[in-house]
Amino acid sequence: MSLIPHLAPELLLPAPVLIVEDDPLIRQRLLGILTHLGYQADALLFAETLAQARSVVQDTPIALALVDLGLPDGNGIDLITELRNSDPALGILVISAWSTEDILLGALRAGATGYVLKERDDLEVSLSIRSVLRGGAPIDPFIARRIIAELQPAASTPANPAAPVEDAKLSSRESQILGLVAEGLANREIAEQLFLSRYTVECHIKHIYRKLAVSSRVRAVKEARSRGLLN
Amino acid sequence: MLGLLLLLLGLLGAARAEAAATLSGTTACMPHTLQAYAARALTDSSGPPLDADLPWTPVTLPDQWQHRWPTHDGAVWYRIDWQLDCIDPATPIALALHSIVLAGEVYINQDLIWRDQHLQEPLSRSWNLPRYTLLPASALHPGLNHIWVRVHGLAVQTPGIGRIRLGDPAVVHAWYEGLQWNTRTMVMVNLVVSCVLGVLFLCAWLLRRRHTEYGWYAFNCLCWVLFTTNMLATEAWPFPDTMAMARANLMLFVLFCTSYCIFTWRFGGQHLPRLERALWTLTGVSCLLAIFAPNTWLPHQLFSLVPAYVLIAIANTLQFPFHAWRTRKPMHGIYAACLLLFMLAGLHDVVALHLAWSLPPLTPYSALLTMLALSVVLCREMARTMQRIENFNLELSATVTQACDELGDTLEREHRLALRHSRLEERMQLSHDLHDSLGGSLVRSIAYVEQAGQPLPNAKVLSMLKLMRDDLRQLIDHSANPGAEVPPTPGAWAAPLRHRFIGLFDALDIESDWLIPAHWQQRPSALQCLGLTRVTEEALTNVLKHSSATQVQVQLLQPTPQTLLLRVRDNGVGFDVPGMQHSLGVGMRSMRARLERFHGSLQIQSAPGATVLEATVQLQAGPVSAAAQPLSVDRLSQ
Repeated sequence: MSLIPHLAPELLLPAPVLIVEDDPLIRQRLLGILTHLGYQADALLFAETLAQARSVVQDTPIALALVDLGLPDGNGIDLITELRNSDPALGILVISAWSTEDILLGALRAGATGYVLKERDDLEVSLSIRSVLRGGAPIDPFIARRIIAELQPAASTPANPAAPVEDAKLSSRESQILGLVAEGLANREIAEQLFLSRYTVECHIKHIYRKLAVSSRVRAVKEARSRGLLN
Repeated sequence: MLGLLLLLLGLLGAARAEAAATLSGTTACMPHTLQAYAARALTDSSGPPLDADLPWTPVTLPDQWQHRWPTHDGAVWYRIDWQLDCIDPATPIALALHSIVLAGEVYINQDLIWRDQHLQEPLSRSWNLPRYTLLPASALHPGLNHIWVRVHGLAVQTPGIGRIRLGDPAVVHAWYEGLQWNTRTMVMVNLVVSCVLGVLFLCAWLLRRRHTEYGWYAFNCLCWVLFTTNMLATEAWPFPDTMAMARANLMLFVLFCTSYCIFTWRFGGQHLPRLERALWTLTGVSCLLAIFAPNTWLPHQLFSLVPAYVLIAIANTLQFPFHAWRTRKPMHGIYAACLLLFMLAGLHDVVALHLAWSLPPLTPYSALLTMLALSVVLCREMARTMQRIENFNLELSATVTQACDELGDTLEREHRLALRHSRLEERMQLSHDLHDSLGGSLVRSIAYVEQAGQPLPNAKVLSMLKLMRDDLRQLIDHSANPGAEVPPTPGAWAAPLRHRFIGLFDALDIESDWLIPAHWQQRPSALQCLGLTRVTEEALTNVLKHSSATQVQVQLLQPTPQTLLLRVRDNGVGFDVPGMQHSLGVGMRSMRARLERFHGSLQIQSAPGATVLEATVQLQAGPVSAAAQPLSVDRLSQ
């Protein structure tokens, strides 16, 4: 996705934005952050439940989604899957209260473009949203390490059914970027070290997330075939 | 038991005087008017004593001379006179002789027709050897003819001759064949069967010594086989003379009867130690007597052992059915029935002999039958033993399975216990962590609010709450990752912080510089790592929020292997260190308290443009990793 890297993020505000969050205070907080980023209140669509979110999506095509995972009527991951299936280019940011690696990885597999912990300060949340708005994807060293373990071909034996398929293999550049993230380098540093633009690095990370989703989808199909659910 | 009854038959049969030599056939040219005489031979000269100067005594056949001449050992002539009216070459005359005790030669008129191999000691043994021949016509003449039998015997061995038949070959031969069948063939059959069974049970006993009844049966069969060979042997070999053989036979008979009794008791499970001891004593004495007693003892003292043992055997035979009745075991019943059948057959034979019924003896047949029945009984016992073993194997495998199951249960229970234990430990750990991090911050915040005396500004309350939030976050991260261990390198330790804060610094145009060594000289504990992380986090958050700095440097050092030093330096506005202790410094005081828990300390120096925070941690001597490596500082950032 070579999205206008030179464009200042404040100037590109895809709308409308769907915010799925059941806590009114956090909704208020997100409203504040997004307004600060330049959004008008009428560009923000709030949903408290999965059902509401679905009905909103049916009525209006959305350009960005901020999704909480723990919702009163179910897990936000299901919604992420639906959103991703309906629009492969949609930016989906997970705003989660719980941060175990498995849950975050599950959200990324379902198709999220990034995640941020609800408890972080406004500045950090705002940075994550800006990163997504720029067409990039927030990441951290733990997740980078997990993705390396999952997608790195060398890490799995040929006979391993979990071995990544061709579509989901990391390119050498992507492996390089993940490795640097795992070492704790920030995207800016990585960009400087690899002589890339910072936006390109973020696009790479987004691609990596997409491969993670492809890998999990392909694995699901394989699994279903092996169990006779598909022909 | 077979032996004893056959012996009885032999004894009684031999003792009984019967109709003398019998004429067979009524046609013309057949012999008639038989008369037998006996006389001690005076010379050793061969050939019949044709001159009639011997003191002939009329006798009836069969004849035993020991009553007539009790001390005569040696030769006795028997003369059978008979009339032949005419000679018809077309109808030969047959002669059959029941027995010669012990050896002898037979003449017809002057012609020799048989002679045993040894007429001197060791004598040949024809005592159980029927003979049959056709008389050559040339040796006969019309009128008076003679059959001469010269018998060599010992007075103690019931010497004499058995019955003689003379006449139509068909009739005589049939008689002879009957004799042959009863005195030799059946004995041979018995012997072979005994031999086979004896060997079989000997092997069974050798392989299973516990089954002594098999051993005794084999011994019984052995005695019987040896004893029976006496009935079939035609020479004294391997014994030097007739008396030696008689002693051996006596010994064998005694042993046979004894082993028969012992076998019966073992088989029936009868425990008769005194009786057994008495029997063995008697047997031992008898055997010694049989070997060493002088010849003169033989006829009376020694041979009286035979009826004694016969009575013992009969008594044993009679007692066993009662025992079988008591035990109610089928095999005992079968065996008792066999014994009784055998007894009855034996009685029948004895009575038949006594009353001169011309009935065939039943004993050889019943003996065979008994032997087979006994084999069936013993083999059945063997088969049952094997079945028990098979069942035992089944039971054993069932028991083993059960034991395995129980072991599995035990292990599972232990596993559950261990699991519960470790869960409990984890909970304790969590409680500790809660107390150390969140609890401490909370208590200090409460104290701070209480001592403030006036409403606090929102910013202070917020910072206290955020401190607790960050403590909680760390706690959650720590306990949600059960494998949380010491990061392998300082770089790995710093990576999450570094990644997160560089993003934030970049956003605020703060230049950050991270100096982290490549290796631990000595590894800190997981708790120390977490504490340092929180200190760093807190320090950097302070820089972000309050310092207005443009440059930050984060440095991790190991001045000595036992010391870990974290230094955060910024060029911000600085703050009043002593004042901070009382005002905004809830976070810093919380960090200091935490550091002190694991031998750490916190120093802060601040002036405008240069604020330095130093956290020092003393490392315990523990698993040293890369201790020998020199401290090297990687400059990861500009």
